[in-house]
Amino acid sequence: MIRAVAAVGVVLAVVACVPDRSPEIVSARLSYGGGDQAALYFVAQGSDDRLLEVIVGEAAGEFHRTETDADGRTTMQPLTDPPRLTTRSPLVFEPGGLHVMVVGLDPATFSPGEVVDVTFVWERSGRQRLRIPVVDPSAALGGPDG
Amino acid sequence: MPRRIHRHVLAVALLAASCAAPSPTGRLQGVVVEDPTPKPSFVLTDTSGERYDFAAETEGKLALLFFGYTNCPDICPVQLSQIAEVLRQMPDVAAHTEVVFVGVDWRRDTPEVIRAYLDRFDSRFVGLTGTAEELERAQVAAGVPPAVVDADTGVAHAGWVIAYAPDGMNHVIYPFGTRQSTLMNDLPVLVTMTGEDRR
Repeated sequence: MIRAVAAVGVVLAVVACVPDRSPEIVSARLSYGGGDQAALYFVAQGSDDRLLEVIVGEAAGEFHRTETDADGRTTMQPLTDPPRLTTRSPLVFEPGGLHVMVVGLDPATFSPGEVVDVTFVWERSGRQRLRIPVVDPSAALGGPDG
Repeated sequence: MPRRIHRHVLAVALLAASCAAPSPTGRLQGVVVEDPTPKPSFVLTDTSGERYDFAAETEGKLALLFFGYTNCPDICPVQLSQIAEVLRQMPDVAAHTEVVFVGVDWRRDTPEVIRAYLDRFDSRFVGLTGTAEELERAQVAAGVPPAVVDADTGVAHAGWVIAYAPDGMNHVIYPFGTRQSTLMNDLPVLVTMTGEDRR
């Protein structure tokens, strides 16, 4: 009996440590207008996790947030902590806000209309690999209004 | 009798409507400037190394002025590519429009770097650069907060596009996030604002 209770306890403990499900990535697009850098935008939802790293092709991304000061100047600030996702609050990477800045891309291997391998590294869910479309920056805002 | 009254009411309503036809500014969907400011006067260096007098070179045209930097992956490419895409769809408007990008990062934005950067969007876009002092004077003249270029924190710059109609006045600005549909609506209106209607 004691063994059975202990086994159940172990199972419950393991279940508690494993996320219910991996984050769902929607509306992902890599905005690329040439050169060696790009910006990755997406929404991650449906899980409790922290995003540790994003790798685009062979290039590691940096988490940045575009902020506006009191005079109206915008600037990019690197995040000091990994962005957190909860089941109640999606993680939104969008133009003019939180985004993944990717530097060191090979222009020969990227152009709008193609897809690129992107690996998301989550603290609890581990590695998640997706194929994401490369879009011209004119399509970065998304939606029918352009 | 009631029918006659209706006719009179309709006639008055039509007259009132014709008198209240929206001004060109009223048809704009960007952020309209309540007290339009005149086009600033500044001279910088273009990507062929020639001096470029902004007011003189853009006289009689619609001028879209943007202060950005070439190492900017988020705001700048979206603003520039939105304009490029809209002008591609409106060649008649494009023929009367000058898009002027001022590279505020004087450390990196050389004429060659700016030219290569702008050619990704539209080879007709004018690129300007200058010394730190010249760039600051141009931004102050245009009424935007001068960019802060810092080795540690990067570049902080005004993220909006300033539109000067052919009448030489800034009637509207386009903050970051402005949709192509807004530009599609506004640019054809702006190119007609020659000032003739006020004379």
